[in-house]
Amino acid sequence: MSLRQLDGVSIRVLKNGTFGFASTSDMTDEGLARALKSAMEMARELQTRRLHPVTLAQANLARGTFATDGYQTLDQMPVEEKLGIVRKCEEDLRKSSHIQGAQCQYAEIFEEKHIVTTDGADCIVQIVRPELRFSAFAEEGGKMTSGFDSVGATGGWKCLFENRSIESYIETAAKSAVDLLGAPVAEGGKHTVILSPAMVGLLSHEAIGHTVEADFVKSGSVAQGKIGHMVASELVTLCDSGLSEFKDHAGGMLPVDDEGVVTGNTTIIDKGRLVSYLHNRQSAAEFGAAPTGNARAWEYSDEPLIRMRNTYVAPGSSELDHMIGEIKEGFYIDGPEGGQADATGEFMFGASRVRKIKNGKLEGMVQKVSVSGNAFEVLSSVDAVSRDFQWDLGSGHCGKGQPAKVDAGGPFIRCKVLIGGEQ
Amino acid sequence: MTPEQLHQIEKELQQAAREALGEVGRADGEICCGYENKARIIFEGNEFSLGAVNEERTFGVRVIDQGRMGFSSTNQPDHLLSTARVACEIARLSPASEFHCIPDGTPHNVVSLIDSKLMETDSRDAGNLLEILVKAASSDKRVTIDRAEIALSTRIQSVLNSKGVYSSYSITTAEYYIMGMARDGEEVTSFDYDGGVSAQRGDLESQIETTGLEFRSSVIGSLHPIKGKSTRGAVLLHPRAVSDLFGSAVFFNTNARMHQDLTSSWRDKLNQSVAHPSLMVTEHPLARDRAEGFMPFDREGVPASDHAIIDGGRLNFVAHNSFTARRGRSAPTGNASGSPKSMPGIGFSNTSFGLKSGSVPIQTESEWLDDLKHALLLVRFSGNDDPVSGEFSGVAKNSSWIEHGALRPASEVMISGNVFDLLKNIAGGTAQVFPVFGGSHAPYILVEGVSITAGNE
Repeated sequence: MSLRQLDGVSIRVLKNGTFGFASTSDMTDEGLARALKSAMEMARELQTRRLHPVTLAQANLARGTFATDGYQTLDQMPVEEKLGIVRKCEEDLRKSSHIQGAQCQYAEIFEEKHIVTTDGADCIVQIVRPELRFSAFAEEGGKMTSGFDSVGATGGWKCLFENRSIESYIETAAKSAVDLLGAPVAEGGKHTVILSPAMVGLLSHEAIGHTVEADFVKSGSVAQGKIGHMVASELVTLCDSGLSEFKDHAGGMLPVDDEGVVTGNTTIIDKGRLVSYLHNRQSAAEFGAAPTGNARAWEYSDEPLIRMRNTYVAPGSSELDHMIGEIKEGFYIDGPEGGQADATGEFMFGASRVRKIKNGKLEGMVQKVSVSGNAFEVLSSVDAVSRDFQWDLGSGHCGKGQPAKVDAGGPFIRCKVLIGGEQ
Repeated sequence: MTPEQLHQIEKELQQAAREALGEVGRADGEICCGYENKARIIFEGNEFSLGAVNEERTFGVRVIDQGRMGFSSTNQPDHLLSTARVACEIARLSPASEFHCIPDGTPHNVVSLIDSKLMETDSRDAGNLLEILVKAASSDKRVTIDRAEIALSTRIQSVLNSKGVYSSYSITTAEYYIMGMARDGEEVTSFDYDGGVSAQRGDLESQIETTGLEFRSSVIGSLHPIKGKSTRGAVLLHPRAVSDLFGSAVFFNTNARMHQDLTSSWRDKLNQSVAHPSLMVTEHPLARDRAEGFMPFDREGVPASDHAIIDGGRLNFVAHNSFTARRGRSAPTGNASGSPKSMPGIGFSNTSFGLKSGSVPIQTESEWLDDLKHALLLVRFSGNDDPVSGEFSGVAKNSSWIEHGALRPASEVMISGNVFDLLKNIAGGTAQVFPVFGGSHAPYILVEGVSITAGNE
């Protein structure tokens, strides 16, 4: 068991159109004065090099205290109780036949930030995010496989299990490791697939979300110049939110961003049409838009960057069984294993729980695959969106030079993607 | 900052650590201390965007009391004594293991890799260096830079433990990188990145300019791609792809923890063949000219040394920290990894891949490109690889089709297979090895039998 505590201050100054930033763990008056001086010097240094002065868009700046559910209760829950649950989970993971090894990891992140700006923000933000990860390793005849499941939330201990029981996570991790032992390799190529809510969340985050971050748009991402264009099927509405729509306690909840801007829900794609990028105050001014509350910094020593929060596709009206029943040959794809997006809109993500669909019926598991495609082409191929909804990436971190706690989810969708498999 | 000021900071860290060690009582204790002063200049969205300075001291306290381990870290020197008490309390609550231990080691091991000229480099010089990188990369107007950065760091890491070990090293580095793509009208290429780390001011201008020009060539070379045909065949792995694809499987499966937890496929394979007889994999933590992974001692203060991990295809080495060493009844190997903010894990530094001549064809990169009739040149693998089963599947980025000596950039190409099979199916490569941004060195390696799925089918 371990505990890590970081305390510190960062100062960002905007002087003559240029940002300077400094952080320090020395919170004495002298330490703060030194950091302020460094930030001012850095801003001055860049003045002669910057072509266009930075301006900030007006924003709804936060005042007061913003505390998410569970901040007090999770801290008061005895460590012994958490440790006991984790040890029992590890024992239970080992119970299935063929399981050689298992791990259960629990982490909780408490954030307390005081954000003050010269133009009016003055707030305290308290957030807690617990996460549990389950890994199982199976072996048979010299072949080894692994299975994984996880859950994360913004809130207290009980928030982790509002949608599924702890036993179901254990069963999924252990069963998928065992099932993979005898699973055949998937046939590569372009296929009709059902993406689970977790995979829809990953698609929303990796394939669309990153390309509409305004800093990336400015650099030339494929979303540049596409506002107002149809980029997806009319069945697709895609959002990024600091709140938690449809189900409570999504893992990336953020009441106030790290520029002190009160967050809300940003619709990125409305019924297939691109309507907004994700902004901080600087990019909002550059694009003539309103800030969307997406400026986030991981630790006190990190400068705020444009990051996502909870990214999702809104539910539709189809039934999952019916969506599967209409597929002659295809795959059901679940078990996200990380992903990456590209400037081109090309994305890749891994999937560890993949089942073949034949003549409208789910068949057995195949080996782990990578799924790829062009984001806008894949979303344009969506021909069914289910009425279900699930947040399912709450244990995930997004990486963009610094980590960020995010969540993502959605309904089940049916679309066409490229699957990397056997030739 | 001056070398004298840095020396003073090291003394202050050591003194604070000694006082904290007194708080752990009769238990075994270890204090890992860190100091970093980092100045960064950032170019983002085709503009100079931010100058930043970060300064931090960090302390990690590890306590082992009757086989129970606790760890706590802080970045506040004033909180160090209370952090040590928290570590003791965590130890009291933790499950016991006979294998938890604090290693013996060299009593006093102080190493400095400080270049005074690099230490004197100020933010104006840093801005000038970044401008060289940006100018070189954007000398073709089709290049668009998402982010470029230069960071000048001065760091100290030291370890003091209750067995009398004191190890400390200090280093100055200049780290630079660039990330972006090419855009020609509506066409956008995959993004790419490159960079380097140096511990010497020396001729940084020339190194940085070369990196910028190579980055430019890479992204411009990715314009106007073709989709190609799905097949099962030969792939020429660029050094970056060798490092990505082979590195993940090799370093997971040579980590003693994975052997002991029964999660490694190589757990009973020490001194047995795990790869083609031509393959060599080594690590060089003491190489002063490879600043990215220079590490004279490990996270636990154990002296580091070079290791031949795979020697002629045979598994020759398994990396230990003090926990796995005691559990495996062997000695720590100097591979405990991590920072003061984390408990020691297991890792490798300054790794190198190489091919022994004699058992596979060795040619230069251009000779391979001339000779191959149909193959994929895989530069960057963006995908998932499972180091337990060896299965991998992902997208070929910044890659090209090789057709009778001609290169055509490839798009929407997925590759999949099993890394353990690839390690055995090496069909050739280059004698020359190339530095890979991130700390590895590797040659080009030709492998057979990879499933290649093109997106147009």
